[in-house]
Amino acid sequence: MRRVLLLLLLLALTAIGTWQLFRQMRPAESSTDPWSAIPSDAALIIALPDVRSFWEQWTRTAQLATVFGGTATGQAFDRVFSRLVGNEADGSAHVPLILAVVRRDDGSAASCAVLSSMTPDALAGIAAHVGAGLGRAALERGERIRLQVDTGLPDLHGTLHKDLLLLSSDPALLEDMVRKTGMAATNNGLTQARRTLGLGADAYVMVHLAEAWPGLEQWVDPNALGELPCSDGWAALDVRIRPEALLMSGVFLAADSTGAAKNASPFTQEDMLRALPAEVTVLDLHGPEFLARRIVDHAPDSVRSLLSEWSGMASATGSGYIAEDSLAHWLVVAAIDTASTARVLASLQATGTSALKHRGYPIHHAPALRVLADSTWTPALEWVVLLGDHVVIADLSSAAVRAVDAYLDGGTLAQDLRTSELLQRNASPALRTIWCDLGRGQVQLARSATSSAAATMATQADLWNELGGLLFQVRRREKGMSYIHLSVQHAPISQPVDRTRWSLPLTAPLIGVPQMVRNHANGMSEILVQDSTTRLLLISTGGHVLWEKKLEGPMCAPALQVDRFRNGKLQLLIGTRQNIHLIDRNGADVAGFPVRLAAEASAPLSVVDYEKDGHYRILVPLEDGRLLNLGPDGKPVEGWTPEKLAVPINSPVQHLRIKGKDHLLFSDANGRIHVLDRRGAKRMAKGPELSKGSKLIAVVGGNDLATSQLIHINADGELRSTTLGGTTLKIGRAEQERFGTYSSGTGSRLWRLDGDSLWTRDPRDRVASASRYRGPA
Amino acid sequence: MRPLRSGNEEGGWQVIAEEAPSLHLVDAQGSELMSPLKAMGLAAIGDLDRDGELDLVTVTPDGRLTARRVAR
Repeated sequence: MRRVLLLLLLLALTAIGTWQLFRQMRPAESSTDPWSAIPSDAALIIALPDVRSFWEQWTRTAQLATVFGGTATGQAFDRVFSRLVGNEADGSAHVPLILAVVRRDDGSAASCAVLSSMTPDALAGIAAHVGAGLGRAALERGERIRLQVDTGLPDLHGTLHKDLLLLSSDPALLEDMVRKTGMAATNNGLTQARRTLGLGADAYVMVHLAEAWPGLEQWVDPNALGELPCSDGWAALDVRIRPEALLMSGVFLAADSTGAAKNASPFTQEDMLRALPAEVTVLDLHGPEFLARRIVDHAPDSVRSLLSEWSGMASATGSGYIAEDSLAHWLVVAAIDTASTARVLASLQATGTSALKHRGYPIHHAPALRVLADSTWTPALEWVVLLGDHVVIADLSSAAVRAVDAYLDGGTLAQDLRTSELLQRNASPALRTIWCDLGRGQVQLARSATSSAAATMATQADLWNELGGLLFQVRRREKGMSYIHLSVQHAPISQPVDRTRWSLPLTAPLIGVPQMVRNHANGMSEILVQDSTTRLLLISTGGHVLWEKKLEGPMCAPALQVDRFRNGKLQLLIGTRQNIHLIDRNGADVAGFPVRLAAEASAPLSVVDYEKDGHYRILVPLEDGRLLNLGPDGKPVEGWTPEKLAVPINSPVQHLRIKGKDHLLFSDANGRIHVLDRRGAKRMAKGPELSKGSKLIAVVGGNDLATSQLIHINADGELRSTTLGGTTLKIGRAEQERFGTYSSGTGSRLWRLDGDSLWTRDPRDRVASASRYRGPA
Repeated sequence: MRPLRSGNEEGGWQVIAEEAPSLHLVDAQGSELMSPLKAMGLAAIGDLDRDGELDLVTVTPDGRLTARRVAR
């Protein structure tokens, strides 16, 4: 019994010791909830889970980053964020940031920010870095400091409090934040909205509608803005950055959801777009409640009965310029019984007048339909025409005429390639859809803007021309929550909107084939190319040049990606005839590189990771017959003592592991195959001799060394397979460089092109496929 | 038609027709995986932004490096 007690005591002591040890090893993290410092009356909150990841994704992926970066505010943010993420030594590797905008009593806006860190001690350094080295010591003493972060942004007041860095443009707001920090959340709306946020987004946006709506008057004319469009509440959106768009999806939590529409079904927009002309640049697709409300609230009894059929119908409103200085508005609703609807429209014709006829379609002047107009949109809707099974009501007779022409001539919004492609990208069936072509509709938008905002837009026309659709949708409503989507697209009006993602002018022709390389930070791909001036260019997912770097010559083969420091970050390993380069994702040489070769490379380098543990080897064949073996640090591997050949090696080194033993295989200029072990010693005293000028291109492992196959091409361009036991099979003739190996579900296969035929075979000469490819003439 | 070069990626081969520079993506049976694309050379193929759509990046006849989705 005593032994058991002693054993339990020992186990308990061991557990306590281990827990203490790991507790000390764990990085100290801000213990205070950074959200507690955010003012409860914030109008807008933007939360970045990690500043560096967000900036990485934004600048390296989003085409919109170029547009935003063209504005003065964008340039200021660019400078601040670049400093914020520019110094890893400050511990900014993982720094969540919450930004908030608060409306003050006088209507002006104040901003604030909260930064936390896995290493709170680093926050003072980050502040000093962003604020040009100002006040680090004072900040560490807990004093209030003033930071001039950028000439294009207001000064910030800041302090370190409870392991958080608190910043604000308003010193009074900063004191409020200090008082609040660490206190339990009291704002239920914000708290509930936070709970709906998803995981893994690039950023989060939260909007308190009643607080934010009046703030829009800074940019939108109050008459066009109107009153709050629905009851107050919080919108909580997950932000995803994509090359062509910024996508925001989430929920709107109404403070009072009792009036929310029930049993509504999402609908598609396609039908109604067939009755609207392509000039429409602002579109609003409403659920049935829109027309029902207009008819019930505004139509006199005599008209209400005539229009009762439309009360349960979805409708679309659109506006756009049909001529310079002629902004037109249209409303579209479906006609269930076209004959009956035609009679109703005729009955609405103004007394004493007759319908206009345009290309066989009667256009009625129906002033009674003005009740359907909304003054924030257009004061008049009085010209109506029946087009197919849709009623189109316009504010101008010329607008009704344009609708008829578009309908008959294939010029509708549904047939407009730009609109249909942009809508197809992001729109879904929804209860409400508001869409605006920002590029094409900027003149119309400027009419609704304040004079100062319109003036700014005029100076930034080039940037607006880069924008595509702004889309807002209410996709469904459930349990008091509206599921909403907001997106902004990049789609230059100067380029056709098709399946092109981006197009980049080149200053010199390319050498070789563009290569996709992995961005380890977000898992997306970037493009590596080399041009004829031997410049290497890395192009972002979104299509802009991230960096360029001059090399001394062409790459011998496509770049390889390696994890030099075994920390999940990838570098580009590139061999030229003269050097081995290891380049990080920012275009900088990794320490120890480039490695100057003592003789020119005679074949592309190979990377072998024997144990798949990141301890890789770089094998470089040289013209002087040596085979170089370098470690990840670029230094020669100790103990590597291969024999120097009398002739150059003419193939990259192939690695084969058989029965736990590593084999390095390559051919020399005489056609001799060499097989070495990890230390460079011969595994075969004398390897097979292929014909002179043959080049090893692939190795297919067998059950043992003797049955393993060497795929090679001879000087005449004939592909052959030779086992290390000496059996040779002819595979076929391939035009130079038009062959290779690939993996299929049943093992390795060889492919080659001969004339207009594409051949694939398995290595044992069984024909897997031999098909003639004939493209269009 | 004479293939210029080809490479296997993502389950398909690329074949460049020299006469009317165009890029064809074909499977092992020679079936076209997309409509031919005007291009001056082979393309990088893959999913650029992990949206589930295959993308091609190649030099188009106007000398621009162009990325576009593959319409299958």
